[in-house]
Amino acid sequence: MENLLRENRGLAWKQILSLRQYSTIVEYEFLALWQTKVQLFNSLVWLPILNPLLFGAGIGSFAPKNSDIFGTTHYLAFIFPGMVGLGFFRTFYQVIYRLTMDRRYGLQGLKIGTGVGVLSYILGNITLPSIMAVLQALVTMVVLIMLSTPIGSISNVVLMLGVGIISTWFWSVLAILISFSFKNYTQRDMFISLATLPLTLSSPAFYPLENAPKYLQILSLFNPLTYNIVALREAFLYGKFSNAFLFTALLTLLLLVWATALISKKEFVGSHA
Amino acid sequence: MDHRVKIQGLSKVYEPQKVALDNINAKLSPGTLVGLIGANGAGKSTLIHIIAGVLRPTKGIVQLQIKAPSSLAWVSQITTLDWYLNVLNNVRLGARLSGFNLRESYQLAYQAMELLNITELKHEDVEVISGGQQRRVQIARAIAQQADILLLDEPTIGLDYKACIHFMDYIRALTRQGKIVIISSHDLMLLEKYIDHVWFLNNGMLELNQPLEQFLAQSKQQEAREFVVHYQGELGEELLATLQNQGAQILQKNPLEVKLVSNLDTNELISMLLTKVRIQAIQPKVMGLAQVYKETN
Repeated sequence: MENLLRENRGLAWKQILSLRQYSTIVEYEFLALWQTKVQLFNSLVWLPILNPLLFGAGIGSFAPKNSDIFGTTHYLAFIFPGMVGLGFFRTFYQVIYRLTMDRRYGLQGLKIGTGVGVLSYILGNITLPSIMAVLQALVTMVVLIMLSTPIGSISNVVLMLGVGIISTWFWSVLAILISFSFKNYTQRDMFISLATLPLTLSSPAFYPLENAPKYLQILSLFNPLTYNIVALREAFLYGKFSNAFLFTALLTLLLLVWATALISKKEFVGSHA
Repeated sequence: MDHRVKIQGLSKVYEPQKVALDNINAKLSPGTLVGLIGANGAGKSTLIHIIAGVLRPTKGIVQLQIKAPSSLAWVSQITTLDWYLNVLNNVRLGARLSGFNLRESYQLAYQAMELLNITELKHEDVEVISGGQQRRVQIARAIAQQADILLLDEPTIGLDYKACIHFMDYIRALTRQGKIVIISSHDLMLLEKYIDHVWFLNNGMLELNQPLEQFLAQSKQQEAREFVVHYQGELGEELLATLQNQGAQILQKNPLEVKLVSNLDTNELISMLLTKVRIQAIQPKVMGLAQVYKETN
């Protein structure tokens, strides 16, 4: 028999992580995603096909074939890491949506109150978005190959996906932290609509920063997505880990510790919900 | 005595200064069905949430002797459902959180849905079913969890009468297996038939913490004695005025419900009534939980 105490300290740290609890959370995130087949179709089919096929090919038709500008002579190869990066970034608002609903309807309290460790909960919630982002990247790659884009070595692709998974975790954990600050859906939706567009457009997903106007270069320095995409591009084009990746990885770890500590101290109902 | 639930010095203050609970002390043994009663805002839901572990106390502790955190199941007053999932998967979540494998979780979910009569809704999305059905889904989830302690905050809201009885019979059976159930409800007439212990909260304080019989008996010992008299004939205004002058409160004329609040005893009452009417039956009026609650509150 366990002696379970409810007192004004946070949750016991021994209940942080368990494989069984983690897999239950993943199972339920999958079931929820499966119910929203439109979103599934969008993520795995529509977006990764239309992006390169329409937008990428269109811009690429007049982009100069200059490896000094793009690091490669093929524009689509240049924007492939950018599209992948945006795909991984999309997990940011997906996790915000899912977690604010979990909190709003008491499910976060139900799961953690029933003993799901905080880390199991966090990792369980970020696993499926990571998998979806990787699958999306692979579908994009298949479309690019069909458009005769040079993909380079498989090892570079694998390295890029590995870097991408870390960036997904970064965005997902950041989303978890930010979701605690929303008091209602209006605030959540306002934040998402105001934040995602500038982050996307000021990142080097579709253009090299070196040729961009000065104000854009300065703005991009404050955009975490910039570092993600730079790291992805370094991995894909040159097969190396950049400082940007190391910075993202370290920041992800710090955010994970912070999120775990924060959730451990949270209350899940009443005036604090 | 083996106390599975111990509450010591429990207080909860919501910012800035709202005292929701004030120095609650209580213990519960296995096999107890507790009725948690009190007015709106008395602190019932707060107490349940703290025991469930989703709110932290400001002071004091709640000590639970259970196998694991999932040995405690909780049904909130608010709707706690995953709107992306259907009924079956919502119910199954309880079993999965308790550590049952996939096959077992389906079995337990089907059993729980059968009990709450929602099996035919298993593939429906929870957002399209009625409020009462959603409530049943939450209760089914708690049952599928196979917990040793159940916290039920207004579980019968939205349930029809037959479903209430069926559900409470099941809860009673659970306590006979040694489980502890704390049920908060405003349906005092229903609670009275099943509970064996009363927690009465008033402005955040646990004013009464007693077995139900003791709670009701205490009120019987009060100076008020009530009788219901079935009679034939006419009482007449003069007799009623005399009874009132002698210290009887007339609550109803036919059948006569009378409350003796002074030295007028039963024999004197009967003698006075016999001067005017033929008495068919006279019985003491048993104070139910609802009346006692009304008197105490």
